[in-house]
Amino acid sequence: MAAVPVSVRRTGGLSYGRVLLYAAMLLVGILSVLPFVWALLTSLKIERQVYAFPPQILPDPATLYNYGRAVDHGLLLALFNSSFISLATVGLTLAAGSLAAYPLARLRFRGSQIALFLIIAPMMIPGLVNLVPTYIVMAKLGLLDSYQGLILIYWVHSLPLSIWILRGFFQTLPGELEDAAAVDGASRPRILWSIILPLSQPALAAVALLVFLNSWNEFVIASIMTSSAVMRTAQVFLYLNMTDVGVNWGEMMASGLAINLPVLALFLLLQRRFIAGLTAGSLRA
Amino acid sequence: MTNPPAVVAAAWRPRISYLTAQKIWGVLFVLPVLLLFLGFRLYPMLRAVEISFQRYDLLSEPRWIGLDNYIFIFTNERVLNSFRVTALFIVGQTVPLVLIALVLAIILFSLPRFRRIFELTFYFPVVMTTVVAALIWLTLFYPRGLLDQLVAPWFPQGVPWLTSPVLALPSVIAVDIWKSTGYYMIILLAGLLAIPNEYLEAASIDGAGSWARVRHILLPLLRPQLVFVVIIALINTVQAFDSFYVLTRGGPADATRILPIEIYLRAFQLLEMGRAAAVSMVLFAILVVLSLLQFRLFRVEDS
Repeated sequence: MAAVPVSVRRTGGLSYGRVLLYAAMLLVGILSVLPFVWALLTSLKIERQVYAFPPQILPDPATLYNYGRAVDHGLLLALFNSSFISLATVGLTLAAGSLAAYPLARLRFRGSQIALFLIIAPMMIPGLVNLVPTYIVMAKLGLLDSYQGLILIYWVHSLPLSIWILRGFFQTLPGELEDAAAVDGASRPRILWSIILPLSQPALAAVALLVFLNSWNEFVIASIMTSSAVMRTAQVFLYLNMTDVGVNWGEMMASGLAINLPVLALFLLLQRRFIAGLTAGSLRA
Repeated sequence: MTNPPAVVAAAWRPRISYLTAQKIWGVLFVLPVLLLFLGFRLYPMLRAVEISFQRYDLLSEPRWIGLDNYIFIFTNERVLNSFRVTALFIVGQTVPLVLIALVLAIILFSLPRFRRIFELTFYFPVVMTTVVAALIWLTLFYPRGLLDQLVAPWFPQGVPWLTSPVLALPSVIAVDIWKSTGYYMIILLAGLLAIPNEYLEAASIDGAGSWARVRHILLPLLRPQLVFVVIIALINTVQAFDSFYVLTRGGPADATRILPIEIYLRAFQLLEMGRAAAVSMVLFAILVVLSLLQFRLFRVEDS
């Protein structure tokens, strides 16, 4: 620690300590990516090579066989289920979320503070604590093992943080436009739809990303809510294939990478905005 | 269009109906979300409280048994063990996690060149789905897997990463730290980059060494972000589930049976809904305390 050269925005010469630090950072970087690379290599190997000891690094021969097997076992349906559930959750959350966030950011009405508290407080009730009663309620409603059931739960779970982020963003918008529109006789729904939402695209995009990822990655609730094979989300499919079928690691890695692909693609595409979107709820800068 | 009633209405509208309309729309906009929460957040929560005083196995009718569930979870050796494992896990995870994130953030802060690439690379595991990441690590930990191969010169028989009660928890912690450090590092780095450059320059001119600058300038100014990161890390740690479920499912010999795993297995394997709900209540109490701290921080940031 003593050698940390804390010089800000000074790209000066390369000292001995600096080289060391770069080497350390390089090592951490390699450690961060290595398991992923290993998974990629494993997914391209034939079964005999996957379990070879000592482990063989490069696939020889390289084959897409494992990906074909994963598809045979139902990978595509699982991906469809997850996509459908996640996208539906995003749509519903954006609709109900911006609707609720707007009056909480702008309009003064009796009970608005209580409403705000009631909406934000559930952030403190994590899904795990509600696992047992949620299951029972869903069973009573006949929503176990259905798209509607999972979408409903994810929707309810993603609303508090989404409303919090959207409300924060709405408050930063200048109020003059709305006032002018209101004087011209525009109704509140019209103001929200034609003025606020178009201006809020960055916040809406951040919320959409956050909600999509949370729904896509969710595992516990999906695993207790789904029982039939055709309803499995991608995460459940991946886990159950390992325990039920006892698939080989090559196929497991192939499925895993395919399931991770949408998330990875979004990350590489958006990069910094992706990180900003994910930390939006915590930083609110 | 000049008949009197219309004129009167036009003259009336702006003042009275503007405010009432605002109220009505406000309530209408918030109503769907409120109903949704009452039905699917508050009601289940109340049901959980109710079930925690009942014996309920999903199959037969629930039966009121008073405080029996709570007495059980505070006297049963297995549940008590879960509390101990959870405490161990929280401390064993949060402390190194925050320290590593802090060290990485400070180092990256001092290395402007290539910072972006490092940031993105360190963030990479955060992006990976926990189940996928845990499965990859499961294959790495496997007997005669890649990790055993790496330590072969010192441990020719291999290391029981996940099968030894002593090593299992540290192994899962290692995976969780690998998975989530980048997230906390980004928050801390953002905090460091927001510190005005003049402070550091002034300290340099006064002859402060590297360590002195970290100790007396960066760390005190980073305090809000540090407190925040610690609390978020605690909340996330208390709720950790996926990696444990995939890697060890609470084993071996309950060495990694943290409270969320305890709740899950008790409810959906043993069908002891009442006892699981009682454990949930305790977990909930822990989280409320942590979340209230977080809420206060939000409020401080807000003002």
